[in-house]
Amino acid sequence: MVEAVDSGSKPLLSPDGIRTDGRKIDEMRKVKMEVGLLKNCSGSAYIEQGKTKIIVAVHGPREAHPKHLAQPGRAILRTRYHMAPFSTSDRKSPAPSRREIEITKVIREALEPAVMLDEFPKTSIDVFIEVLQADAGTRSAGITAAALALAEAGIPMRDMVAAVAVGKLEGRVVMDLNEEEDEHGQADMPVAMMPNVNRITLLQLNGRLTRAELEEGLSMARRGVDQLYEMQKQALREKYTSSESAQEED
Amino acid sequence: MDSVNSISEAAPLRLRDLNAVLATGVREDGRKLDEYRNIDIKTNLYEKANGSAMVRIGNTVAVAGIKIARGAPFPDTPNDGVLTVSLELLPHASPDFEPGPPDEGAIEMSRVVDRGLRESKSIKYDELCIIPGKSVWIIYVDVYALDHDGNLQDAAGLAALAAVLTAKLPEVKVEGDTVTELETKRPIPIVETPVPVTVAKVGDHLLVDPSAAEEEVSSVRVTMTTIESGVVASIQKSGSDSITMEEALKIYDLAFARAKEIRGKLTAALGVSPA
Amino acid sequence: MNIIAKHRQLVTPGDLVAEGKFRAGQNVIKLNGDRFYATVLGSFEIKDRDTLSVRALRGPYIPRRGDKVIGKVVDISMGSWTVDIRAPYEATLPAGRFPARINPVFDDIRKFMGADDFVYAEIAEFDRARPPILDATLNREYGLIKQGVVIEVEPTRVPRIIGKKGSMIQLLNRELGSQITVGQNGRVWVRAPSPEAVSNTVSTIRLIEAEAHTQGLTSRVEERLKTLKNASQKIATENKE
Repeated sequence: MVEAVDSGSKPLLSPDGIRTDGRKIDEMRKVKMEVGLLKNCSGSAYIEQGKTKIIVAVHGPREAHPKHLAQPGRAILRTRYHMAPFSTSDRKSPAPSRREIEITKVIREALEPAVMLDEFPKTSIDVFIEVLQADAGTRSAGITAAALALAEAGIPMRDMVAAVAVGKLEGRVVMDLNEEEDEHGQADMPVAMMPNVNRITLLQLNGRLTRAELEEGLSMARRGVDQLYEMQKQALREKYTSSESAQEED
Repeated sequence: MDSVNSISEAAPLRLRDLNAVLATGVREDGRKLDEYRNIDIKTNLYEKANGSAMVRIGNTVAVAGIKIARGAPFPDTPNDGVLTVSLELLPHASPDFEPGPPDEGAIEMSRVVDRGLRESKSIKYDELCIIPGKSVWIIYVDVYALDHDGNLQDAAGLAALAAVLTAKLPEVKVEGDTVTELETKRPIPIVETPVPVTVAKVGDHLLVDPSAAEEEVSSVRVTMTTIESGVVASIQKSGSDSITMEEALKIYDLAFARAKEIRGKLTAALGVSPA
Repeated sequence: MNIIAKHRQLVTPGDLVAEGKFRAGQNVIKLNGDRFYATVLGSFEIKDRDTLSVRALRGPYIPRRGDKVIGKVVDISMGSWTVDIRAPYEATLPAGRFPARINPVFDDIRKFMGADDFVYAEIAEFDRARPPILDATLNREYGLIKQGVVIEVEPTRVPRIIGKKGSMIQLLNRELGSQITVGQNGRVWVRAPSPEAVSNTVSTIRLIEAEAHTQGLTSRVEERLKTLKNASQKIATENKE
């Protein structure tokens, strides 16, 4: 069986392993994170990963509405992944698509293992992920920012969660696809992990990988998650580090 | 705000009991941990459909029907035909399923079937082109879950696959912009068999093809669709828990081994195999 | 035994704070064997030699029995008020725990307190399984708030606004002639002799809230109070002229 490369005329990877945007195979796009930029919510975060731009707001823990959703022994985590109509080349209808509904679900399930929901029985913790500009990797960047916003909201977590998509270009496993690579590449595998307990909380694959490539992809994702986790900590420290001295004075 | 309910809210009521059973390496229904239930496949059930199949995995039943129509291609793929999968969890299948718009669990299941089939690139879409940029075959795969005793995901995926493998397209004659459908028929051009296999995690155990009772107590399910060569063409982790990297690879090994067996049964049942 | 985080160091969820034989206190969990991780953003502390905890820097107000809080009435039903106390849980104030003679059968309790009214009360009962119960009869300060303004501050900043043994409040009260009541739930009730004094008090509280994490806060507040005083004296003189 021949693995067809349907990338059109322009190769997505040069023979010496350089990608169309100049990155190396295992190089992540430029990432920028910021927390606490919104006032009227419990926690917020903003992420830029390449041209992907996402803002996340967390509300709660608050009383679950409608009330029948409330769980006696734990909080419910509600997520919403949504793309702004202006986030894509062609206007996206604001109504939630089936894709957004599915992503909403897998993102929730990527965060749930980390959030200590049993601390707040009968409440809901609501995570709103709004994609302001989409350039591939929106669900993974959304997860990274959502975990950051949850941490900023002061919600207890067993571990942070960070996510990155690995892919395959010209038969090679690469880190963090951009839109062009996502469109024309051979595989796209978003992976979310809890870095300290070393567990996968989101795993999807679209495209074709051999077992060896799957293994390599998971290890590469692990390295990406480590980098993102460091940046998450940095973003929180930048915003709050001066608070250390505050506690000294009391 | 999206609902928090999925098809089966994990309720680990009997988890401890089940774990004790699983520790012996045997499941409630007597299967081994890596054993699939019996699969029964029937095809060409409905004359008015271009293809159809009913797949039974133990007591779980799904049926798929295919309708074919000529239509315009997507602007970014002017030379390719189109395949679209939709799935409905009929109220017949479970007292928990309500008629109406699909919930996120049904949408997820449908998109996983779709990805396994479409994104595996096993179907040669360029051979579904009639007039480049103007007319292509659009293949509608509609899947019904009829009876839910666990692992509807695989049942739906296999039903869709079996229906695609046995469906027939009319040959056409093209004169300028005029397309005439001929009496003769041909199969849908599919060159591999992407077979989905779902593995559930209950406690520390990985269970192939979970029953409804096992799904209820499972924290995570992973569906991997593999093709003949061992290439994995789609993965979906579903459920509010995590897995380790080793488990991911173990699931791949289980999925690939079971898919091989299922592929054999499929070929035998259909009397056809991919070109 | 290995303590990795420094006492009072800022930690984030997932930070490894110590390894070995310790006790996990608030906002610390034990995972991966004998490893202890922070679960919230906050300041790391070691108490009683072996108890590891993190004091949260952010997060909701979690009611505790005995807390003095300022609630806002959001709903009224037969014999009780539902009160927002900025916690994940709405509190209940039964008519019998309101400082007035109410006959719940004959009296419409709306006459005593309606929607959007603020009430100063104490958390009488709370166990997370049921809504918190408020009591406004335990102290004569408690009851309906009839005058002044109520502002909201970050609940984690409350200790700074109160100051050591109430020193910050006393300073503000003395210098601005105001009367300040701070609810543990991050609501502050301000009464002052003039609208100008109210505004000065509120803006000074905002300053404390914003700069709660900086050193030398008290002297900066004192400086600001002096400026405010001079400005108001100047205005007063100009008005006379």
